[in-house]
Amino acid sequence: MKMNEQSTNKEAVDLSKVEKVLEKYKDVRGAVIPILQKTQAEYGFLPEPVIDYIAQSLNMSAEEIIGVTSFYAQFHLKPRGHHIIKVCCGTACHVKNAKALSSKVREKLKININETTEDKLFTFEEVSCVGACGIAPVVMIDEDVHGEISPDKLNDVLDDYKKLGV
Amino acid sequence: MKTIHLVIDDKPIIAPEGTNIFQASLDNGIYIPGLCYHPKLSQFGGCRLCMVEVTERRTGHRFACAHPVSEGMIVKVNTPKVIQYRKSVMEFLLAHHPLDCPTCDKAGECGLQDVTHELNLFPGRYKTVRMDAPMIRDNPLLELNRNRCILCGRCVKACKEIEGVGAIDFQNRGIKTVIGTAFDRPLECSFCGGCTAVCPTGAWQDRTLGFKGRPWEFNKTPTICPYCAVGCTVVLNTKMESVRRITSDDYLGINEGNLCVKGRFGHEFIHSPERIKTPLIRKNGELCPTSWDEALEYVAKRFQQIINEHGGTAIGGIGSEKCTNEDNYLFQKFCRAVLGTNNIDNMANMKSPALNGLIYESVINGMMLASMKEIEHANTLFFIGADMTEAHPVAGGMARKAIRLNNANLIIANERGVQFNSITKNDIRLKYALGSQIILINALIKVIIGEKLVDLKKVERSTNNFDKLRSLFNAFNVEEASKITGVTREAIRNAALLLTKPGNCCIVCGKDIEESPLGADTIRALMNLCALLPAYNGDAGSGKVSLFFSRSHNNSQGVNDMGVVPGFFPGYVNINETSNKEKVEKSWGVKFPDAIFKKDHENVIDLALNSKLKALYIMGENLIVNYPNGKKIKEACQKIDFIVVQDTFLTETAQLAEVVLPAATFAEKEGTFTNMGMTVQSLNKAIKPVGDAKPDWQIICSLAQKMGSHYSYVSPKDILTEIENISPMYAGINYDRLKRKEFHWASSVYNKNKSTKYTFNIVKPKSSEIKENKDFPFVLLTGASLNHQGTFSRHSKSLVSVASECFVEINKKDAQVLQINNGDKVTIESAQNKLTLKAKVTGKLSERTVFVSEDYEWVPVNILRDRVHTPVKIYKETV
Amino acid sequence: MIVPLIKGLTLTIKRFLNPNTCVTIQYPDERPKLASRFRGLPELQIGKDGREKCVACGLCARVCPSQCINVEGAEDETNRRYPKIYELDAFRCIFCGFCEEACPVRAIILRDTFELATYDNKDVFDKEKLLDLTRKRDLPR
Repeated sequence: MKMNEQSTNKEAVDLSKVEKVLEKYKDVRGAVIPILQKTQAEYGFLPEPVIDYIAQSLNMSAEEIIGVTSFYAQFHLKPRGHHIIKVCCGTACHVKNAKALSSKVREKLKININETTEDKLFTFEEVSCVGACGIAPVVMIDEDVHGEISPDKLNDVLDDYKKLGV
Repeated sequence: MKTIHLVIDDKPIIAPEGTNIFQASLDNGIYIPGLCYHPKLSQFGGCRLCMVEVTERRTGHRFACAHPVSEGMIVKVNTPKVIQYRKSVMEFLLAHHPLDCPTCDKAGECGLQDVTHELNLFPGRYKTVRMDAPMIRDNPLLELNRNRCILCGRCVKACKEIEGVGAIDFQNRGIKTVIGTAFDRPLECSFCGGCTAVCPTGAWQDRTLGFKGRPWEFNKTPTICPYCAVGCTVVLNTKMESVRRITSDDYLGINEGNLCVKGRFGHEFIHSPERIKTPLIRKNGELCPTSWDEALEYVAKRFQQIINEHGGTAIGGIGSEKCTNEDNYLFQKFCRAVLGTNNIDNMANMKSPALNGLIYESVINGMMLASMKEIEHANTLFFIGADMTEAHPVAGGMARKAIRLNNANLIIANERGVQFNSITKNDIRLKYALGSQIILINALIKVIIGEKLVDLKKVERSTNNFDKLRSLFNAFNVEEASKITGVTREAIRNAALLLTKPGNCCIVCGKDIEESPLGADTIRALMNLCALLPAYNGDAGSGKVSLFFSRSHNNSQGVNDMGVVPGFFPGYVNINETSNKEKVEKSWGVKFPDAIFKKDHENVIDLALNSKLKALYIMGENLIVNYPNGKKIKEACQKIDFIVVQDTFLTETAQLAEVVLPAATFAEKEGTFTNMGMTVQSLNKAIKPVGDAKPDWQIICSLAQKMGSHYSYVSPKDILTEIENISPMYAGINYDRLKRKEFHWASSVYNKNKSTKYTFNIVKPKSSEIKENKDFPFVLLTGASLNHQGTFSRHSKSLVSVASECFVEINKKDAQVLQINNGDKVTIESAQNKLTLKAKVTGKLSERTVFVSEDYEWVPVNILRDRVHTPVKIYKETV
Repeated sequence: MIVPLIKGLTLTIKRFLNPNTCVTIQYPDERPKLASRFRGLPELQIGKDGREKCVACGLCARVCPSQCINVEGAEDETNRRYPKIYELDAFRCIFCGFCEEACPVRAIILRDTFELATYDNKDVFDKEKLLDLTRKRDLPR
């Protein structure tokens, strides 16, 4: 209602990108999810001012938009790292001690689940099954699958990514 | 509508098609436990408790709230299997629920408690994990305790569907789901408290109660809200002669249990320490407490003295828009019969003098035959000059219901942008240039006639003067009108198309129009438009037109009905006709002096300014603040020797008085209020008057006694009986019937006096001229406020805490030019006065206009004004 | 008929011959020994933080058959619910102990205060008085 006019922009966000997305979906009803997907593709995540802007343009409240974004795992409200580490915690990987991999990541990068390192390089997630149980335990970094990996090996892999940088 | 026959628990039931099993049982007194279904909200099917067994037609176990009734259905509500299922569901719901009923204010009226008790639940089998979520208390009125929440979604729906705000929603999913605001920001909503009313647990709570009582300790008295003119039924919860909180009842009154922030939280003024508790009399320039006897004796003596020296016409009287019909009836009777003066008036009539006649005209022409409830049944809604969200929030909720259930179309025309959230597809906003409302309405008429959107022959047959109207519009050019009003041609055409669609059409004419200098003509043009619509001329069954005139206060309509106006006796009986006069004289047993009734009655304020008044008797009004051009009123008041004010608080006006008489508030008296839909509803006394205060009618009775007239009224009931006899409009009103059902006078008046044919008024299209003023380049607009209205809200702590500051709203572009940001101090200066307020930059206003709400009583914006569109200049205050 | 009579008489004679019970207690010089479940005046209990345990839920007032309890809840700075007013009309109290039974936090307990005679008939015990009874006892909290 009133929040759109008053919301304090913590950091200036370039709204021109979301404007373009909204322009495209101007006359389409029920297009919240595609708009959010396209917007996330532009920004990498969904910043607060952008959500407010979308809400205002669609004549919805920001709460409704947040209701959608927080429901789906595909939307992110916090900035994400350059590389996404997905440690598989499915049954097969769990049996092969995936927990040790998770704690290795935690210990090495000093981040918890769904957190991002301070240098914005890594985001750490645990996922249920990546469908590669034959080579368990599995860690996915971005789109690369690292199978039959041990904590030590993971350490090396992460070092490689670190060297690679952004 | 098709009806369905079914059997629920061996009881044969007839229900309309499309009803769900839950609603059908509810309507027939069969109890099905359910926590997420609410009759006024859309169904959700979240709590899973209302499982029933259907044994015939679509057999199986069904959720009553999500399953429509069908012919021949047999439903069993309590089979062993169903009960077992419900118990298991409850076990899940209670697994996380904290057992803090002793300290939860909901205990005693809690849906979850009721169901637990009803199912006689054993200790649950699940390991309970307490959530220990912190209490969310980021505002002074509502608090959210997520531990108690069962995620039924009622609050989310009430916020969105009724209030149109959507300030809360579900967040996250699975076990992490919670109710909350985006990014956990502080709650920013209209604070209607609808969430507390629908919440089946203690998750949403009214913070103002503050543990001051338990639900079972309260005496609940339904009565009528003392704020706006919608006339919602509020339930006063009292304990030990004090009002502790206000709740709502879904089945009482016209509001379906919906209230706004004023109605639900604005009750603290009743026990405000600032209330006048004893009569006050001016001694040595100061108001000192005194006894009733002394005060009344003194008033009577002074009045008598003035009557003897200058005649009764030297006394003026101002009736109240906030007092009951009985109070006002007695006030005018006292003034006319005892004081012998016809110089009486009320604020509503002084602000828009032509309105009473026009309302009566619309009634007898059959344009206002419905009560406010009709808005819910509308197919087309047309709000012109009306700010529904701020001025009549609950009526706005009714409109949203029409939009949700009937797919109603919405047209909002206003000279400033007004907020109205809705989900309708056909939502047309016409923002017209200042003062050009007649041209806009005429453009709509032109489009309807020109494009033959209605059956013109039929209109011609059923009305008079249509030829003249048509010839007037020969020369009218929509293109030109579009230029003047600033509304595009397409928008005008679309609006005309929506208006002429078949179905019910509700038109609300707002204060922005009524109080404008061209108000009377605009309303006449609006009546012409109504008369053209197919719903007005159509065959039976094609819907009807309902016109509503926005009124500002709870009894603004009633005070005029009761004849606290110079032109009419009670019931709009013309005062200048001898037969009417004789009838009233006979009934009251008095003889009016001939000199008191004049053809052209002067405004009471003007009389005072011309030093023609020696005394003024004011009942429950704060003229200085609430009347445009407060400076003039203050001058007028200072010229009067003797002012008596009868009010609940020591207002600015009361401070000028010689004698102040403490009056009781709405909670402390009985009587009736008439809302803007002409519905008369009765008040119920909840508590004894605070201090020495008395209901207004009693004060007038004792004053009359002191002046030698004996009034033998025992209760407002007797006064209402007299009103019934004397006022043709209120004929048939019955106090005992009013306790059960409201009385709607418009329909009975229509049936008695209906005019055979509507006669079109010929209204020349013109717009009020807004002159370019170099010194004062801006135009000041005023309007209603959601959070405040008059003296009562000013003394309600909660309302002040939620809206403590009155802002001046400035257009974005103007703000950029003047380098004004949100929160900057800005001075508004008119030829009369100046005022410094904080700025709020909005996109709602047109350029060169500023908006200040006139309902913040401590911000006397009226001292700046001399007419509706006051030229002002604004500048930023430098620190 | 004769058997119950003999039974009753046996008890009477036993008491009569018992040196501990056969003598009239010299009250008030001598204090009677009260049973541990004696129900005297209800007393408000004090919690670990030194404040009243009562949470002003009003159940005692609700359950009281003689309606002698009046509770007015309020909210303090820490948002704790506490009784702003707790009044017990000792003249109306029938010492049934329902309040003790209903209390969810064991904040009210009927102990052994039974000397309630006063010279004036306005003896309504307010919160402080009821708490003082407990304070004097110096019970382990």
